[in-house]
Amino acid sequence: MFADIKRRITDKISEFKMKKNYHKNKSGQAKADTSKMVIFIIFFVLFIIQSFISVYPLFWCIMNSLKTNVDYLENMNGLPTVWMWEIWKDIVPSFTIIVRGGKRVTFWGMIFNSIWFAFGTQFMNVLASICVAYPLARYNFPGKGFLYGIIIFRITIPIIGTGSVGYKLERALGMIDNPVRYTLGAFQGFDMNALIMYGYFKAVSKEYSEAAFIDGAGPLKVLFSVVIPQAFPCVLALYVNSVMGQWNNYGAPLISLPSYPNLAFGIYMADQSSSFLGVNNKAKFFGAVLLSSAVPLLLFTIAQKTMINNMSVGGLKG
Amino acid sequence: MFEKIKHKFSKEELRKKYNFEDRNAFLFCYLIVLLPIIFFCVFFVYVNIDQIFQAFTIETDGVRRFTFEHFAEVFGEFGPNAKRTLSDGSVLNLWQIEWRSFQLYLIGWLTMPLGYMSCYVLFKKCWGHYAFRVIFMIPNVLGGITMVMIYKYMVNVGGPIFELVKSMGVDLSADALSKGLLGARDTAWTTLVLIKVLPHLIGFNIVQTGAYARIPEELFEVGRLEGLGFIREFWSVATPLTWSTMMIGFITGAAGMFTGDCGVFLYTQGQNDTATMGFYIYWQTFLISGAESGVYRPVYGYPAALGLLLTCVTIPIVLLVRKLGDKILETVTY
Repeated sequence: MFADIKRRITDKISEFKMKKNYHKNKSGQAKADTSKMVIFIIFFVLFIIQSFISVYPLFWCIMNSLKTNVDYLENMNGLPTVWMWEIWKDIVPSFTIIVRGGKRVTFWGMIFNSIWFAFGTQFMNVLASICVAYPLARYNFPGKGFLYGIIIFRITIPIIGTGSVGYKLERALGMIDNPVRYTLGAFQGFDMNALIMYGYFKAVSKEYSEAAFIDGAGPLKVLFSVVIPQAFPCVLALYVNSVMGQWNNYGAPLISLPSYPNLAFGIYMADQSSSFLGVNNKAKFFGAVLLSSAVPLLLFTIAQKTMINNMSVGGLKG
Repeated sequence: MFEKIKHKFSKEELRKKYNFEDRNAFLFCYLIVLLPIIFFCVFFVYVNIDQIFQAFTIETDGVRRFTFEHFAEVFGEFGPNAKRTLSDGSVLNLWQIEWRSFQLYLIGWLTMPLGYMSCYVLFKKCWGHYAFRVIFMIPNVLGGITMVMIYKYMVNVGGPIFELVKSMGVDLSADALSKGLLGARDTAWTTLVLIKVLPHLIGFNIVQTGAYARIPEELFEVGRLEGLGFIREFWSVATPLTWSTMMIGFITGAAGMFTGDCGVFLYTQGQNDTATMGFYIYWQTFLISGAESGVYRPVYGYPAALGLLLTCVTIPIVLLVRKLGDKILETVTY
């Protein structure tokens, strides 16, 4: 396989060489180094500009979370005239929203909702993806192609506008405003996560599993005691990535869990009516926005290496 | 035919074909995928069947009958006499809404090469690559709602983007000067596109980087020895070897061709001529969820018909993109 790819690439390179009429390898390499250097310089400048675009909004938000309302209105783009650190002490007690039925939800309530909503639903989702991907990657059984086809179908064929009928189904199943049922409903494994996991399970060495089978372990034991620990970096990367996405999901709770607002939902509500936050509401609003991102930021800091090194998707053949 | 299938799956035939261990393994496979299959049937198959059912039927006096009314309504909304409006008086003409979503897709295509190239440069470890990777991830990590809330205030009157636009000498309307860049029809959409595109123009794509990282180093080595330049290495070595991963991006991109969103629900709620199809579809569900809690009567037929129509238009395009992608470059497995 390797030799085949190598040969193909070498053929292409030779073709290119003939066209461009390179004289010797040495001069070619020097040329390559120069072109690399030029590209690096151009992109370095672009990266610096892009870094500013990425970081400045965060910096601006932090600055404005330390200003009084008067300071914010008069000096929106400068540093705080007086650094009001005490505003941050008030964010948590003031960040309370009123949801359907007049129910008051505090910051801690929203944090709790965010935790079960993000970690719980994504745990179910990743578990379901493992259940789908593992047999597909490791066993040859009748119907395997069909199941793989379902994953590819779900990824490639767009089914648009099912939100309203999906909501109707959720109502019929009693999932609306029901955290337990909503979380269980996330056990849907025929998705991109399954495809990523499929590739990883295929790549993980089979020797340990075979040894475990010889020692008398059953297939479930092998999956949970041998394969998942081996594939843990990929599972963790997928889980963290999914949790980070779900943490910021305001749309689903807004529609399906109106009495259980997560932090993203709370931010949306606070934006609609910042009177929730009381005095110096602008600074508190920006502070709340920053606080709502603390968990994803923390997760990314902890798991970034694992995420960067372990997420790749294979082909769409099937 | 039936007898043939019956014979093929008869106990004796299966026993002949598969030994005890095989049959046990099959049992494990079927049991482990059983629950996901049930969930798939309920949340995907049933939902899609129900969507078709809702799109083609209407309930009058407790009796459900076949109809094309929902489709007629959808086609009507594409025309000049679109009826649906927002609180600011914006008429929700579906052509305009669709065009905005399509613009987002086109811009995505135009900026995509720069995205892949920058990702490759980072993978090749340019100076400060690690810091840049982390920095470029910040907007993604902070999440859509956080960034939307920050940008929303940055383009408001007095915000840094508003001031920057003013200092550049852009002739702003009275509305924009008093309500901010998102508060005026002449600037709202352009502003939305810019704040959507600019932060992601150059970026770091985890999945693509993962794909580059899987390429065996010897293959780059061969190229280097042959004197390949950086761009040629990117185009002739890295791109073919990661084509399958790129294809997923192209296909999912094409799948979202007509449903681009741009965070409109949070930024403007579709006001000032900024509604996109992604927003419009979500908004329909949002209205239904309000209706279910007693605000007004839920209507499933119209959004179902709209979704079905868009699905029918999008599927051939997605298949075409897939076919073209396969033709342009052969997927290499390694």
